[in-house]
Amino acid sequence: MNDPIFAVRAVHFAATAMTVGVMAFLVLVAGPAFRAAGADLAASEYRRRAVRIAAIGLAAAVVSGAAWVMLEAAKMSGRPLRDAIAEGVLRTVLTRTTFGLASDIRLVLAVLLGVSLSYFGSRLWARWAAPLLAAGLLGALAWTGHAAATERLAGHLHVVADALHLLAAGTWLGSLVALAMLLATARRRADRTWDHIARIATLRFSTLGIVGVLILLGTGTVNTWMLAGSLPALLGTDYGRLLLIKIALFGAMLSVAAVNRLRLTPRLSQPLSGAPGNARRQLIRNSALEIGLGLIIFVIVGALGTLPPALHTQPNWPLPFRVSAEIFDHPELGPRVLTAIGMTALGMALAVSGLFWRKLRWVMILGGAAVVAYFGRGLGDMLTEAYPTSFYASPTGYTTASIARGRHLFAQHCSSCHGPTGRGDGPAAVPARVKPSDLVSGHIYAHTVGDLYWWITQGIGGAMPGFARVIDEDSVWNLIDFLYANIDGTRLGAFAGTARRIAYPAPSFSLRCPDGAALASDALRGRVIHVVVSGANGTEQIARLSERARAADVVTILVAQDAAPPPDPAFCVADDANLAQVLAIYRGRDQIEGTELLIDQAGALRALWHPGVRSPRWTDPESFRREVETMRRTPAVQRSATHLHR
Amino acid sequence: MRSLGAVALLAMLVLGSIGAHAHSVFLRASPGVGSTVRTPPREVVLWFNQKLEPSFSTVAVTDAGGGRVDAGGVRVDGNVMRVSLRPIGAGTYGVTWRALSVDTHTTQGAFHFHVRP
Repeated sequence: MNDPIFAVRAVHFAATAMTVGVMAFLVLVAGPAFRAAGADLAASEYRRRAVRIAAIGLAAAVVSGAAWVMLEAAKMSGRPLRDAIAEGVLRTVLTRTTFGLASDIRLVLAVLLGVSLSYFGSRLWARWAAPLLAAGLLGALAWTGHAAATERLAGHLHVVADALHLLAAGTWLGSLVALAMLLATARRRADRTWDHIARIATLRFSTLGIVGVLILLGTGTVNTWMLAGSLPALLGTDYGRLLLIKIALFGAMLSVAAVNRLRLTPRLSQPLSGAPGNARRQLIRNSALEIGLGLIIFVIVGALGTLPPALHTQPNWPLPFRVSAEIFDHPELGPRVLTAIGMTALGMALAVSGLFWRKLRWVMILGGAAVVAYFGRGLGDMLTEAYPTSFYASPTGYTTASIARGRHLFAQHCSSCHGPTGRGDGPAAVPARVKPSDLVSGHIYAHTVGDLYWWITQGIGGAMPGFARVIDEDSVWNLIDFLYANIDGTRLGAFAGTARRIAYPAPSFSLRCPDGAALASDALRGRVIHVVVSGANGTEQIARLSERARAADVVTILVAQDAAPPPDPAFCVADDANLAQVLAIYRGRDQIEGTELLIDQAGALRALWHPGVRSPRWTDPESFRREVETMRRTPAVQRSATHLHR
Repeated sequence: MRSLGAVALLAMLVLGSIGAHAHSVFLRASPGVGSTVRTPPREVVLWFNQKLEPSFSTVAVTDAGGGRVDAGGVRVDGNVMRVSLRPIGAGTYGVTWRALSVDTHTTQGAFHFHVRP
């Protein structure tokens, strides 16, 4: 917030918006209003003053824009402002970055706009060119912000939404300045022609306003989705909360605009003496109020652009509860919650329709309220306890290094109570008042990673101490990765040899392929991956690997157990010492010779096999191919506490 | 207005499935963060969730003594940043990176990897 870019951005956005809005108002509102009243806009004093305001806005936009580029150059290069300007950084920014190129284009537009403004009164082309150039100047701001960095189709949509949003906001706010000026002039002149102009201009302005508001609502929704994207992000981050304040201010502006449109504008055309004059005075005052609210919004916009979007910071959930998505899969509670939602909605609909039906009004309202009161209680089942960290996301990327480190930390800090494999049977568990949680029983799947983070760092009542002072933040995430690998392993092991319909996330590991390329396993998405640890009967297993890979169309990755070179240069080799440790977690033992894994096209771990499994025998190419085919055909669902037994 | 609504609806549906981002977030690296590899890598590769500005994005790789082991000249291609390494042996190496996203935001970070033949 103490970033000077924030202030410069606010000034630049407001100044550019004013220029665009005044131009739009002259062309779309004032021009037709003057014509309808039989007056000539081009020759009027009002036109001269409005163009002067637009020119001042443009000058302010150019100066603040230049300051913004220089500050940005310093920030991008991480150097002090003076060095950044002196040492060619500015040139690199202007010629080599998206922000710089957008700024170049905008400077050209600004110069052309300046020329058009100076000919605005005398040349027809200037009257067309100026508003278009102004719109370009404002819309192109979309390329300087968060939207420019969004990828692919979403990126194009985001840029379009952002540009439209800027144009609608600028047109609305800037036009308000021009409208207030026009109404003030009308009050001063106090003649029939100006009364007429003021009335038509106000009417046309409200149409412009409604279109603008609709565009703002639509594009604002898209932008919010792109940059915040979820309720936790909106409620739990600085970015999200600032965005909510901005939306609330927009709501306030909208209410003022509604008063203008619904109460004051009709009174402008009432022939009763005094009414139009009063209405006009109030309209001027309300416009000033809206402009004030709009300026606060620009300050917020200035700040928002300098903050990381809500999607990229850990949200601190402010409520003690959250809606549980799990509940809808629950065999008993699921239908009950759905009934409660349906009946509550029905009850509310009944009560609301009562308002419009005089005869049965009270019967319907009371009946509706009774239905809501009776079924509404069932909605409570939908909620589950939540903590400030409930919606944290793990930063580890679920790598083998993280899981292996978590395994080590678990042995060190957790196994004395939870047991070496997490079954809640450690030596310290016997005397404990509260039995330590069984970490492979499946309830882990019912919680968010953020819930686990909270319990590990803060502890659970009198049952478990918090470890926030014992281990650092990274270690907590490593532990959580281990907990998942550990429980996933018990599930995969119990159904060894068979592809599951549940998607266990595959850990990310590094590998090297025969062409020498270093890869992360995630780069193989789209192919089925077959991970193989060469076994005691290694030669036989390896000998048929090529045949199996061909039969089932899979990418085979050999796990190098020791420093020996890969037995067959035709396969990729997992050059990752941590992978063996993760496989040991899955197997629940350190001897992992002959273990095989299948990872599906979507990157989900679906099946584990080891030489102890007699049927199906994956070493037989035909059985193996059948298993892979079954896996390819059956889609997998997210793992959850309620469908453990599929 | 109807078509605008349709576009907005379409946008919501598309965006919902794509999962939008607007900041260069570090996704993963090769060699991985904290990982142990057996063969000394010839380059370090970093993946981000979106486009980077080549001009101001940097990576430095150092050995345990703090000496540079990268060959300099970071190559940026879209959302991938890579740097070649000089021949290295067993040991622990530090990677320090700074990424400038096209939305002008800078992110930075550091991690280690180990080479243990």
